[in-house]
Amino acid sequence: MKAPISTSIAIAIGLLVLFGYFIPIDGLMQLREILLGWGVILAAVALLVGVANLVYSHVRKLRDGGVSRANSIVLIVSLGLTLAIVGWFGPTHSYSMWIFNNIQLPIEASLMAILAVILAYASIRLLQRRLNLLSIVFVVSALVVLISTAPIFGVEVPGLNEFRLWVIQVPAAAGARGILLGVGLGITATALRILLGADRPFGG
Amino acid sequence: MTLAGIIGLIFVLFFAGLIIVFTFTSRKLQKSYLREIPAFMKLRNAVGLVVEAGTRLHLSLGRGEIIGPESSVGLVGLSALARIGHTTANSDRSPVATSGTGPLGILSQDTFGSISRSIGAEFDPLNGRVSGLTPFSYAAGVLSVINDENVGVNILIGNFGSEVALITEAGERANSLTVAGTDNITAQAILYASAQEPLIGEETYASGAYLGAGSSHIASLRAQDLLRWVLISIILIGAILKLAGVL
Amino acid sequence: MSEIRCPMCGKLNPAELEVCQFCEARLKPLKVPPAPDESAQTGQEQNHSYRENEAESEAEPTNWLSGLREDEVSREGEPQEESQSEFEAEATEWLSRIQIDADSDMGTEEEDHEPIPPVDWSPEGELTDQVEFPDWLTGLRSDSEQPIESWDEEEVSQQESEVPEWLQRLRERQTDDTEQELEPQFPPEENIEQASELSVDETIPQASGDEDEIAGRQIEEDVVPEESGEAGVDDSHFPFEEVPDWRSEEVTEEAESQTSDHSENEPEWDGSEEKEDIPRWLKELSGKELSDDEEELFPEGEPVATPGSSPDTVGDVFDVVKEEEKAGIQEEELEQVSPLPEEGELPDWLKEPAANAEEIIPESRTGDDFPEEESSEVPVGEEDEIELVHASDLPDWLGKEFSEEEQPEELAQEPELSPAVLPSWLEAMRPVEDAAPKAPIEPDTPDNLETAGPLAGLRGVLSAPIEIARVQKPPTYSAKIHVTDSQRSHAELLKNMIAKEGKSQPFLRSPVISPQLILRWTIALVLLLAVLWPIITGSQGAMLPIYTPETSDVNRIINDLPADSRVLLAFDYQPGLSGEMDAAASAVIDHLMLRGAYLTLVSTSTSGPIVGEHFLQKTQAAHDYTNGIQYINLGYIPGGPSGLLSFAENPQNTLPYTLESQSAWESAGNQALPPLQGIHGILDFSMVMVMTDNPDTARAWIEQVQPHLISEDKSTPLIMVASAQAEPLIRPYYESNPKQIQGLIAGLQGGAAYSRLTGRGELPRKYWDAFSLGLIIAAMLIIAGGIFTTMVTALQGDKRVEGQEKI
Repeated sequence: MKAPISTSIAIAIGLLVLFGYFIPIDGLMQLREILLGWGVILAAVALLVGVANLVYSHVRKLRDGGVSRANSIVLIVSLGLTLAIVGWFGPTHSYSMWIFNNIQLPIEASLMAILAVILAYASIRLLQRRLNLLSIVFVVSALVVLISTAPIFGVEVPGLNEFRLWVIQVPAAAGARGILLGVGLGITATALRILLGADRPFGG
Repeated sequence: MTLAGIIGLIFVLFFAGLIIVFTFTSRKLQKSYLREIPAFMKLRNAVGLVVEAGTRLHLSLGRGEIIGPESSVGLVGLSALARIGHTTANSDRSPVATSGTGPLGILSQDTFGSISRSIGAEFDPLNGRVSGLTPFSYAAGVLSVINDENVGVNILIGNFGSEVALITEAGERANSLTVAGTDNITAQAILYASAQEPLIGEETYASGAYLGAGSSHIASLRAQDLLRWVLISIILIGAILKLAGVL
Repeated sequence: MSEIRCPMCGKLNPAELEVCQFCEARLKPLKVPPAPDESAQTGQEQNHSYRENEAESEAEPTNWLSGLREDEVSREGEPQEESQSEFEAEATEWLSRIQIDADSDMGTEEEDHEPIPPVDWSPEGELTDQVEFPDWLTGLRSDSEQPIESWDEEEVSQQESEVPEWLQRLRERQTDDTEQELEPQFPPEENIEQASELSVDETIPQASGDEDEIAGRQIEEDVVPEESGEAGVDDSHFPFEEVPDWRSEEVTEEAESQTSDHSENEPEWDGSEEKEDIPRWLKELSGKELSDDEEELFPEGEPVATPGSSPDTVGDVFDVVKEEEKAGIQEEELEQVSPLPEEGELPDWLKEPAANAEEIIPESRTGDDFPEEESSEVPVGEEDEIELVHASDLPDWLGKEFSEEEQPEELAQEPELSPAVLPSWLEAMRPVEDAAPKAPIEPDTPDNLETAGPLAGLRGVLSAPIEIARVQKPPTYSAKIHVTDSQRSHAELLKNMIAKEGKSQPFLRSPVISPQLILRWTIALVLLLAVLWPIITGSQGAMLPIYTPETSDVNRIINDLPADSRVLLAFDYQPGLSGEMDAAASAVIDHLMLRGAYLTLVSTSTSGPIVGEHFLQKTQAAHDYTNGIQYINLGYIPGGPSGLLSFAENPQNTLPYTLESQSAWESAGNQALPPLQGIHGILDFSMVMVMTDNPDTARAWIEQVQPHLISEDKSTPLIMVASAQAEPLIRPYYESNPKQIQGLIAGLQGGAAYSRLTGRGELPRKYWDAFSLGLIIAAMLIIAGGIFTTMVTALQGDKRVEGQEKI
């Protein structure tokens, strides 16, 4: 077992939080709250660590050279400016809002718009790439939802909306629930493996 | 303690017990337990091709927080990174891992450090990097890695949103194989249409077992399958009882 | 100790030896091999067994001997004696002819040739210088057990010296064959004196004996006793019970007379004579009729001296021998005669190729009749001569029984030449070990005779497995090559590939504008047009959707809110989805603001607080809400679900400050901001509305916060404004019983329906026409593109299959 001490601490804290969730003992619940508070703090600090890692990687790119050095420069400059402006003026200041309204929001909205084209293209290529029953059902379901969401050239087709609701509520939701159940089991298995010390993908 | 709490606790303890029992069963049984998943078969071949062709392997861990349900799929991605990283560490171009959150970035660097120590190679912290802190900025950062760093294989295992379509599109443009799996339902639908080898549902959580991460992975897979049938039985029985008016 | 005189070198050898230890000549004549169990016996044992089977063999006349006799006379007792007399007469005549021919052919050599001393038939006696039997004659000794009564050593030696060269060669050959067949064993320590003894049982031909026995002898190897043996004959050494009469003096006298008569005549076997002079026995073998002259020479009734003929003709042989003895041929002269004459000196009948060999030589003897013959090593140069001798001049009693079948065998299996007769002084120089004969090769049993396959007729062949030994006709393969279509196509393909190897292939650049890029641009342009057209034209003809139950529930809840209510808003969607989410939530927030609710903004995403600010500034500017008065922004809740749980349990500790770093909550000495006045916990809020595009976020709010919104006396409704992509996963929470969410606005459609319900909200109305047209166009694109790509794939697949089939 790698790093037995840290592994033991991780296992102990995990068990405490787990049992504290199920067993309503005051002391256990208080301990759980304390530990959760520490987790929240660590997650906030981890956000800063992520920012630092992002900066470090792009600084290395600048230093080592490469094809996307210009992008790294833009990122670092943008990060610095934004940090300076928002830190000085505040996040709700007009300057800060101007950066968000005119840079971040349009960029992300554009990427989302591209996503629409990409998804349409992927739907067209799906039958070419993987022609089977599931792919046909997938495409047909998508078409049904697309057609039934809005009126067709301004004409409301009766019954189409109800059909869409039925597709969404019955087969789509059922399939999604089944997938979620499996995902939930996978999440539980992964967490239990770490709690039992059987798996530790991180750490040296 | 509520009834739901009690049932939940029993379920968790039973699950843990099954994992322990199946871990200590014979390895022969465990190896024959896995069904063939084409995505992992292609992944094995692709990893070999990457090493031979001198291209790079890119593994993205998603943007899930380390605390919360989405952390599990991130940990699965770290397990895959540990397995594949050992295989490709000595290739011409070392693999690179991108993530959308700080904790995942730190953990990926820690994984690369352990790989480097095990093979005696030099550790480069740049191999594990945070490409963005928001979903689309994270996707944009991954695009630059795919386009500029001669990536041959893209492995996407983590928590993704709809922005994963941008990543798979970039992988297709770069003529690289994309094997993707996530816990997000929306992303799974997008991956089914756009990725070459999607992993649907809990196939993502079976990555460790198929990549040989350890017997505990196979044991947990067996426990998952067993409990799935238990849940299916409970649901069916409950539905029947509900229809019958008992419940 | 009994000794046998070697017919070749004349030296004495022990009686038990089969082959002379000096010259390795056969001491004992060959006979028909015994049964397989007897084949393993040694030479001596074979001799003894040979004697034992003598009686049996006598009863079975050999093929070649049976033909010699005019009458089938039994070989036992008195009839044997009668046949012996006839045999003697024929032998005498034959021998005389031999002598005449030898005298005429040998020419000057005859002058050097001393008369062959008579043969010493005494088994123990040594050949005297005067009396020595020729080698060929010693080989003619019968297997009869009749002891040799007496011999005149001088006569024997003289006769022996007169033996022609061809006969000597025949004798040598037979000696070699018998050596290999009868396993003569000569221990190296054998006394030389013993080697010089002559063994009568081996050399005495049985005049009246069985044909098999006679055929088994190496007649060519008649040992020429150089030294006359003792006068007495030891019957114990005789392999035969009876000694033919021709051994007696009377027979020798007749032989002498016949020989002299014959010698006066013209040599009829001169090689220079024409073919008509071929002896009768030869002609008979070749199937030709004898001419009148030949009839005189070979009168009917007289036993023809053919191989395998009756032993009566042997008497002629010994008549000649006796004549030779009388001539007093010395031993040294005999030795000089022994070497074969040069080729130029050979008589014509010896020089003739074996053209008539096949005709003359009788059919090959079967293995039953004659002992196994092994190929003997023939000295180079002598092979042809020996063949000539062997082929053309076999006496009748030798050649008649030869079957045609055995001829090729005999021809193929050339007996090895016996070693040359060395002079005595050279013999003395030979080392004993070298002189000691080697262990004889065990004769092969009839079982070892290969009867099938390419090695048929050979002996001593290693046995092969049945599958290998089985001779099968090899399969015939057609010379024409049959090429199938697939092979032809593969060959063409390979040929083209090889041809292309030498040619430089143009580098194919990937087209800048690929079909995939064109398709993407096409989709983008079409969608862009579809969306921009209503916006450009300002069309608003599409009817807003009818509200749904979940939408009406939201409207009811907001209508039921008290005045100055405190509402918690969670902006948990990404800036990229603000287009949909803003349109979906604008009508609801507008309704809230109309009701005068105080808003508290929170978010579990890092960009949520900014998104909220943007939303209020963009969509709700008309209400002129002021930050810090009508609304506050508490900012980002870290930790995901854990943070939510923490916030739900203790919001004051989780988010104590606003984005402007103002203390938001009420504390000692600090009054809470208006939106948070009277709020001590999440349950104090009038409503909680979560706006998210992520179903996981919605589930986290539902799972972590919703339980804290229910108490015994009150409950706070939880409303979800979700993106259309998250609706399927969130709706079950609305449809559950009890409901975990009390209202649901799903996507732009929900927002448009709520806008139709309240009659307020411009954003959904603005987007609805473009949104509906864009959806239809996208669906049409997917349908058309899917059909097109499917058809193209199918056609390409057919072409690929056809190409493969062609190949």
